[in-house]
Amino acid sequence: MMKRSTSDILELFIVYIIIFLMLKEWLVPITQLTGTGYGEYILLFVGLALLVNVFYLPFWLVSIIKLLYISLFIFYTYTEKVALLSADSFHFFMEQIQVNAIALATLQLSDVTNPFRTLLLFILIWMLIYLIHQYLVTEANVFYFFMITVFFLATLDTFSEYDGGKAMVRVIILGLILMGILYVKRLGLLTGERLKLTTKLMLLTPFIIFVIVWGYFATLLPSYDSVWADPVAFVKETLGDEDNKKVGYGNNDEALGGSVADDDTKVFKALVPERQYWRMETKNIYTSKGWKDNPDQSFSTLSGGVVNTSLNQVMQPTQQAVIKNYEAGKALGIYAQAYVPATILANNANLQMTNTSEKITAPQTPMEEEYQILYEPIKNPIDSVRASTMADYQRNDAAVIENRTLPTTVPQRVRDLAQEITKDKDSVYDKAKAIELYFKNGEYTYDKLNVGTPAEDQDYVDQFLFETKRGYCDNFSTAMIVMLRSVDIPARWVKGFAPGTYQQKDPETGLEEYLVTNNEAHSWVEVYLPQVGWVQFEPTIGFTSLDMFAEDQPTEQEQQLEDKPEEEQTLEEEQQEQTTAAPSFFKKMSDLMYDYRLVGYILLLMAMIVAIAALFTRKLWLPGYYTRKFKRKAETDDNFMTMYEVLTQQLARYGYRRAQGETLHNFAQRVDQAYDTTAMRELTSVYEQLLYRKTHEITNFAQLKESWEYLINLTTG
Amino acid sequence: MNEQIEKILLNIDKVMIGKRNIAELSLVSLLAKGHVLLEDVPGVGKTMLVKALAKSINASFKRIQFTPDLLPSDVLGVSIYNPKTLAFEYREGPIMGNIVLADEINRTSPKTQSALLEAMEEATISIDGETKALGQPFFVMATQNPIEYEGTYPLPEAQLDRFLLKMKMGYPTETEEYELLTRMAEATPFAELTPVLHLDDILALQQQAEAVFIDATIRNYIVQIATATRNHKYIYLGASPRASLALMRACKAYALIQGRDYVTPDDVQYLAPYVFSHRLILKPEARYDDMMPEQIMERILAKVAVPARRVPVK
Repeated sequence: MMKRSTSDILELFIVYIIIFLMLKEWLVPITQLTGTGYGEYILLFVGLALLVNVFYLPFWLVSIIKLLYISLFIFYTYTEKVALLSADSFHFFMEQIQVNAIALATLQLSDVTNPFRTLLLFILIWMLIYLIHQYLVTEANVFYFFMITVFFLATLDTFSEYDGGKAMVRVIILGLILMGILYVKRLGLLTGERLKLTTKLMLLTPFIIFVIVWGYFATLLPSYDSVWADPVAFVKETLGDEDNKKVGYGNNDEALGGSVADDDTKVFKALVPERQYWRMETKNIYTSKGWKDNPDQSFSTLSGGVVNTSLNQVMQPTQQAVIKNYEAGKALGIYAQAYVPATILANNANLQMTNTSEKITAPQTPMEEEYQILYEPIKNPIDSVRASTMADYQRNDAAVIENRTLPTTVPQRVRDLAQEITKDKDSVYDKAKAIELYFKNGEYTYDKLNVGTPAEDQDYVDQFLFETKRGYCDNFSTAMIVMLRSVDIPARWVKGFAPGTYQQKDPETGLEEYLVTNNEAHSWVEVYLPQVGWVQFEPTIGFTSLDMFAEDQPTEQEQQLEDKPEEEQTLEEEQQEQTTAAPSFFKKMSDLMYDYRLVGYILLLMAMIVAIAALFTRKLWLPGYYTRKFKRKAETDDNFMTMYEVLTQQLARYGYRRAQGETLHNFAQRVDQAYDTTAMRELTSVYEQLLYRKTHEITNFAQLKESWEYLINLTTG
Repeated sequence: MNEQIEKILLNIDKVMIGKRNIAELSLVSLLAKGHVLLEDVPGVGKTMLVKALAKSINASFKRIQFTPDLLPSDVLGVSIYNPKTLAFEYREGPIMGNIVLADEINRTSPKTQSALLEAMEEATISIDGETKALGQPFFVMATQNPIEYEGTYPLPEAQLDRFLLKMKMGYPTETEEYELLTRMAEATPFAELTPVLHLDDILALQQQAEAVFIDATIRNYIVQIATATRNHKYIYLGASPRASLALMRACKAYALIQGRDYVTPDDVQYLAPYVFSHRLILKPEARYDDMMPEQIMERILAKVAVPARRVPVK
């Protein structure tokens, strides 16, 4: 190895500081979006890994340092009050190894434990840094890394909540400076001269000043709005995937329809154990155009904050949510309710609930900044939910009577459709589920912009179901309710907010923080089931169901399973399987296809990325491929010529390209000089005879092949 | 390297220092049955080279010093009436040798020049209606002073075409010159030169050179180079088909000298400037841009694609 001077180490050090800053731009969104905690310790690992590279420590030492760090990190993150180097800690590691080994061996990848996932993340970072280091040392070029960083940020910025605008500017400036430094380094390598530090600085200073000044200047320039305002919406629509962006929360729903624009005004921030739908109020008078407030605005005061909604009452809530209100001070602000609400703990003692809409307000006093909700997660016992049939409805049940009426203007075809969808189902729950799933048959599109408003003599639901087939939550939820009611199932309309966007995990309390804006304003359906009560349904496509026994919400499901004793778990799993199999196999399959279409696209995308990566890195893997390929081939002139041509192509990829007017002999000389061999001339003279003499007996094929392999493998570096 | 040629070159090396490439090119010309035009100032060893070559192959050597008043008969010979035999008898001119040095050919009148050049082309001369064959092998090495010198009759282009190669000898390097002085101070190496080959060997080598294989792709390469000279922006008149032919013959001879029985593009690239440069007529623009024919040839060779791949059989 070349002797390394202090200035070399200094240069590498600076380069690695820049790379560290760029890697930081990778990790920040990753930790933010995936909810990974302890981002700063992971960053510390990156810094450590880069630092040991600067000093070229021996591989074994570096490995030990890194492994030690990873072990300590995992140990302190995942164990509590266990002394290091005790029997317990040993037990912890052994258990991890055992569990994960079994999970891997049985291919139950979802069973691997979090410590193992953490280990994999660290190893990934380790590999990434190793690759960067190799590129730096052998080629003094990190263009790929730079390019991928930009691509990564652009993708995240476009497709996720992460705002990469500033990060992008930072990365571009850092990346350009890094490329400048490495360019000067390559100049030094190319000329074979050792550039002095002052020379390097002289070359670099104007460049760096230029990049920074222009980078800054560029951010000041006015920029046009993008020509294509929101490609994401288009992509998502094409993929059939939707996100939770919504209209603002309004009070008047009497005339629904028309397009809505995004509004990211913050409403509140919620600290919850897990994601929650936020129930604000319900409505049950459908007018063919929208939902009318109930004329009965009587209310009752909440005593001690206890919420007495028509939902099943909870006596001893186990969960607690903290709401930090952005609308503090607003009169008539509505207090959010989590499912299933039990108590609202607010400083304001004047909370009251409108009896019909179950809206909680404090009319006399402005809203406070923070209040707490005690609640219990929805746990509908699945067998009773599925057991009840239409015959079980009590004729004189007020909830049934009030939530089953439809205006006569609802067209017959809506009723016929509802009949058609539900006719094969016996239980009320299955009927409701069938209608909920009906919207996922591929005909309906989630759209906030191109949504029709019903004409004077037109029904809002009829227009959506049969004509426009595009809409947002109001369309889906209202349509579902109207269809339910047309087959005599009582249902009501719930207004509120979707769970919001995940912000961070509070390390102290372990609560997750969600930000709810007007974009999260949402509406869904509550169906009244005999003997069970109100059960929530989510017909809007793209939204995950909010009821706990739905299949497509694995995280919540897992969460729920963990909360239960072992015997119950197996029991419930079996029941779930029954549920999933019951509502028509084909329907289920089409749902699955729909749900996994995204997976298909992702696989396709990954295949494309792999193909492109293979194309770009072909100079690295092609030699190995060719060596294997020609090992088996017969020793003929033709094969020798092909081998030689393959070699020249590979050399060209590696930068040794024969000029148009250059003879093979001169080219071979050039290559031999570069690699300090005679192999290329040896091969070339045989090739020349074959090419220009047309007859030649190859007698030393084995030797030629050896030279050929030697050369072609040289090109991989 | 061909062994016989190697012997000749080693022999010449005894008296010439550092001019191996010129000697080699002379041999190319000899084996390709062509002639050489050497353009250089006097005193750089042109004569010594030719004499050494002639002596090495045991050939008869003649020398003609061209002057403005030289007549064709001074070159070709003359028939003189012999009163004794009552018949005209032919007195051989200096051209009747195997190797002829035509010194300072541009000092004589066009009339005498053309007499020599015609003889070179035909390898025969006609005196008084009688055709006489010249010696076999027959090799002329003409020298000329750079044409900027006064009192010269520049050779017309058509005449220049008769020379297979034109080359410049150039001054030796300082060390070579020092080496030359050292060697000459001690002895007269030329006197010690002995023939290493017989004339018949040269004739046989000429035949071998003709038999050297030249692949279609390389013939095409030569054509491409010739075509490129005809389309070049600095060239008024490009290489003629005769020039292409000459290049092919030269390449074969050179390949033989290199010990090969086939021609490679390297041969073509090496010889093309020597074969083509003196046959090109440059446009005035070339002179404005300070371009010499050799430089233009270099550019053309860098541009024309070398045949270096298998051509798919159609």
